[in-house]
Amino acid sequence: MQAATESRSDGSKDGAKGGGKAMAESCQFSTFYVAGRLYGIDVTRVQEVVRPMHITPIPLAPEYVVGLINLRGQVTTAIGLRELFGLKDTPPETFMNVVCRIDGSLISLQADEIGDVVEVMEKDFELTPQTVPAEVRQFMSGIYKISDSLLSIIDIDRIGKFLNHKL
Amino acid sequence: MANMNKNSKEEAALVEYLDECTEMLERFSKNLSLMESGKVSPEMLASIYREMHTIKGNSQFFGFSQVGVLAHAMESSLDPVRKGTAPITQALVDGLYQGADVISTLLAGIRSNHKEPDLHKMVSDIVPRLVDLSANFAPEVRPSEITSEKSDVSAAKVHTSPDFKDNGKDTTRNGEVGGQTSPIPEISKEKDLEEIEGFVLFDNLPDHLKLPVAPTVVSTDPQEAVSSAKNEEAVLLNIDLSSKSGDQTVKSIGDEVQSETIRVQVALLDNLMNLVGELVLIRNQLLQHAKINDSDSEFGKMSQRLNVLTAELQNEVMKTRMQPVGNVLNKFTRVVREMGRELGKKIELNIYGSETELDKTIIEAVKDPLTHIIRNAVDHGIELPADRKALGKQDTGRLNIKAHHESGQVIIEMTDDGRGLDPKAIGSSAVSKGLITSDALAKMTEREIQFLIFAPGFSTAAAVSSLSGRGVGMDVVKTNVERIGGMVDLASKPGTGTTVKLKIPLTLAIVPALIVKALNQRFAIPQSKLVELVRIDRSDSKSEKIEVLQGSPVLRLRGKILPLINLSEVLTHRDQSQNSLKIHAFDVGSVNIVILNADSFQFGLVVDAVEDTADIVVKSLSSFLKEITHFSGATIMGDGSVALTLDVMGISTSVRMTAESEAPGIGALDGFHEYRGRHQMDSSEFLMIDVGAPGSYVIPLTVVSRLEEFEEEDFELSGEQKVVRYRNSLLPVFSLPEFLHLPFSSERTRKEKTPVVVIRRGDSLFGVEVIQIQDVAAFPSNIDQTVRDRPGILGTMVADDHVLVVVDIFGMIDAVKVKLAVEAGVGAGEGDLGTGVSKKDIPNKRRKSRILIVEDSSFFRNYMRQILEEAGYLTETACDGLEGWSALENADPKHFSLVLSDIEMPGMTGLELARKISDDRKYSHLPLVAITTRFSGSDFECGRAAGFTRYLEKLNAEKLIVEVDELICKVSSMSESRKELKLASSN
Repeated sequence: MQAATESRSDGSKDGAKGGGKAMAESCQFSTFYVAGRLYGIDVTRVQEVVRPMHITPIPLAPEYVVGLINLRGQVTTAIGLRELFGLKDTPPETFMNVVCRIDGSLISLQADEIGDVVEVMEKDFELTPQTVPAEVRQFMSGIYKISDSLLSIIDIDRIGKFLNHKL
Repeated sequence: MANMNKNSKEEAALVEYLDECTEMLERFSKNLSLMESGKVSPEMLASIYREMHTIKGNSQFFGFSQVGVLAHAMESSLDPVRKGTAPITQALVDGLYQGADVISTLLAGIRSNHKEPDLHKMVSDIVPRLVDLSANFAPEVRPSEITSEKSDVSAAKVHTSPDFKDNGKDTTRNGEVGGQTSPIPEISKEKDLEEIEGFVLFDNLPDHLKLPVAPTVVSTDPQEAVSSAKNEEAVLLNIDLSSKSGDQTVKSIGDEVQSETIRVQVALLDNLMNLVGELVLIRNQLLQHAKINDSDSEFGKMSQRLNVLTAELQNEVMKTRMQPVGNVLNKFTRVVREMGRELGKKIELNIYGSETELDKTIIEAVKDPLTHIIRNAVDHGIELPADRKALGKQDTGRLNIKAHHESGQVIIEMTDDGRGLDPKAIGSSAVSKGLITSDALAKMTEREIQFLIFAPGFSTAAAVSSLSGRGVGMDVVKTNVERIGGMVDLASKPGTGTTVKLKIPLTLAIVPALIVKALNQRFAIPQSKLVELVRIDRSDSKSEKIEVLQGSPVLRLRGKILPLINLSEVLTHRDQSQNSLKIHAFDVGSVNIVILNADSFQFGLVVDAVEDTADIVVKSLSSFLKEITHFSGATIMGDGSVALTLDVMGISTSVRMTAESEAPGIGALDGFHEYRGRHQMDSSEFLMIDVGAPGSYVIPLTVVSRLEEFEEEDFELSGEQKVVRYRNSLLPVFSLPEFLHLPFSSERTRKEKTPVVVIRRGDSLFGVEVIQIQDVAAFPSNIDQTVRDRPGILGTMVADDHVLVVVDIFGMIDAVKVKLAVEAGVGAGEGDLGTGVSKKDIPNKRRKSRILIVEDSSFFRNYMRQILEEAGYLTETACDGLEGWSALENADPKHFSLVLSDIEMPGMTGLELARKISDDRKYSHLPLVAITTRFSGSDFECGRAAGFTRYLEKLNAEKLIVEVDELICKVSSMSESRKELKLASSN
């Protein structure tokens, strides 16, 4: 716990226009990398980003449930995006935690590396191409074309739905 | 009142108003129920009146006209009663209750929508009735009648009143007077009171008293009150009332609440609780740090001080969440009253211990289960007055609710004296609903049948009434109570009543737990489930031993066989079908076993290490993890890491499934495992063995001494008898399949090891060789002895659809023993008194003789009862010494002709019982026979000293009858023979 110095993502003040991201002209996404790929989550849904923390594994839980984290006295469930998305490569030794609240419980999504908060324009939105593997596509709401790459948008509610139905 | 502060935010004021009104309504209802039961005091009436008045005033302030109108009507209808000019009628009480109901509905509406819901119809229905009530009585009021209810007292007061008028020193009284009179003028404005002489008196009250002063302001300036007291009658009236209150012990509930309290949001307390939780964690880290750096003594002292303070703080914060259970219980007065009226039943509800405190969340959680139990008691339990009279009961049914603390738990007991639970009705209902087969039902004890009401989908109500029996039944009660870590127990006697007992933990917030290690991580086990810790050292042959039962390890702990579960194994394999739990896991070094209690059956959990105990704050897991039933939550440890808390029930279930899937044919007994958990008393444990024939064979576990496995070369032959060198002697080994001459004895392949069940009989050991030892399981033990087609079979048991054959081990040993002339060393109890009775007298004697069987194992109890009853004896049974003793005490001394008693029983043992009986002269005629599996020479001496005349072996039917016959038929000479024996033993 003492190792955790939280860098609170500074997007929360934009919350007023968040929520309906499809409606807005532009929206902001908190981005991160998993296995070298860039993903984004609606910045208003991200509670905070936390440095690597001690994880208590949960025996018998599915592979993508990595364990439990003590987030300042709150027990947070860590979900491995690599496992969830079915990405096969050598994982790094430590993970960053993207902490979100899904259905009232705190979930920490394990990312390899944290990117910037990116502002995107509505016109750059594209639906998820069918070629994206189903494991990942089921969690994506679409992609944004940004200057130097493509940003895959993760809908955390879909993750929540998946978690609750899978187990 | 304070909430009139317009400067504060409107929202806050509204919430305050709603809270206050709700509180007042609650008190109002309580007082009303007191009033209805006839416990009226003027003080209380004043309080009721005052409360309504405040509600009225506040509601009008906020513009909630419906509440205002209703409260006003209620207030008005109370006025004549308060003044003693009208009696309290049922119509009035009913009207007030209805009014209170509508008001609370309105308040609930306001709370959620900030708007009064439209209940004009209901309001306009109630208001005229209330107005009528007050109007009916008002005109009858004459000055002389004002105090007519207690004319003597009032007359006396009239004379003393001038003293008060002149004497302004009696401030408190007059102060009260001021407070109480204040609302009255308001009424006088509402009605045309000019014609009513009684009220004319108030006309000349000073103006300041005519204002609707908030009545809770009791301390009106005494001077003013006195000055207002120039209106003599007003003073008189109130003095009269207050003097009456001095005579009566009934206190108005309103006054209790006048203590120094403030209202706080629960969320704030929860927050506080969490923060303290975190403080505790930091404290723990600090203490650890201090331990390491013990050179700095000043730092050590400070951390110790912080430690103490934190603990105290935690304790105090916990207390803020505690609430008296009465908050819930007192609501039942209302529920019972209304249901009683609807059903035409007379019910008296008594609540004891309503001050017992419980955590708020727990109170909330038990509210519904409690309501359901109460409803059940009123609806199904208590009979109609006519029926009760016919049964010779008082026509008013009694319903008692008792709450008290007991060893860190709160016990809530609900007892009614109604018709009780009829096992027949329950049984047939359960069968017709398909919850159980009629065969299985026939094998169940009364208590087991009564427990069927907890089965899902069960409801006995002949017709589903609007009150209870709405499909959700006692099963929901049970699950809800168990969810918060509580327990439900039930005791019922048909015809005399039912008691439902809830055991609930004080708080959910902080749980004392044991921290264990497995899989290199820590787990917390709630202490409430913990029975003991056992450490087994492999190198120490004297210590307890882990044995293998069909590939599964078991622990024999003080004669009890406990299944073992290896925590690491259980947590590694999600799919439990391959039971990889192997004995070799325990082969090295020492083993730590945590003995746990899962719903009253026990098992051992093998852990890698036992760390420490700690008070933990259990936090729930994400909803999608709830399906891993092994964990009940997570907690944050002193070092800041997270540990999972184990769900003992969940773990036992997961492994039980394994046990069942492994042994084919037992899986279908699922239902019975349920019963085993609930009341161990009424089922016995059996060892399931494979004798090489289809079907399940069982041996009562109580006769089993050990389970061993021998190599083929261990077996030797002594003559024709197979023997094994075992513990410095020879163990004769019999083959069960051979003995039973089972036709289907299949060609079995030579195995390396042969399992042997070691039976102790008297001082000797016998080995019974079987093909396989399968499992230990508990079954309701009713043995059907009709199928005994060959010696060696005691009878059959039906458990669900399966027939279990009970092997008569002792019978078999006897038979083999005779054949081989092996000296078994038994028969210490065979001291022959001679059979001086002619054979033909015996059946007659048997029919007239009643035998008391005292035995805690229901299997043996039923077994002995059946044998004796078949022989023609009358029997009565008791589960332990105490029950046996009270059975004796409650009957004529000559009622019983003989007492058969087990030695080892919970509570009062057989020896104690025997001493008690032989100490009492009136039972000097009564022969006492000990029935036991355990008798060595010294046991026999002990028993004889206690007063037992004979020792009999359990499970030896013939011997039992012979001995009993002998004793009963020679009963006249028994007292002498016992004296002789006692003498002999004391010499």
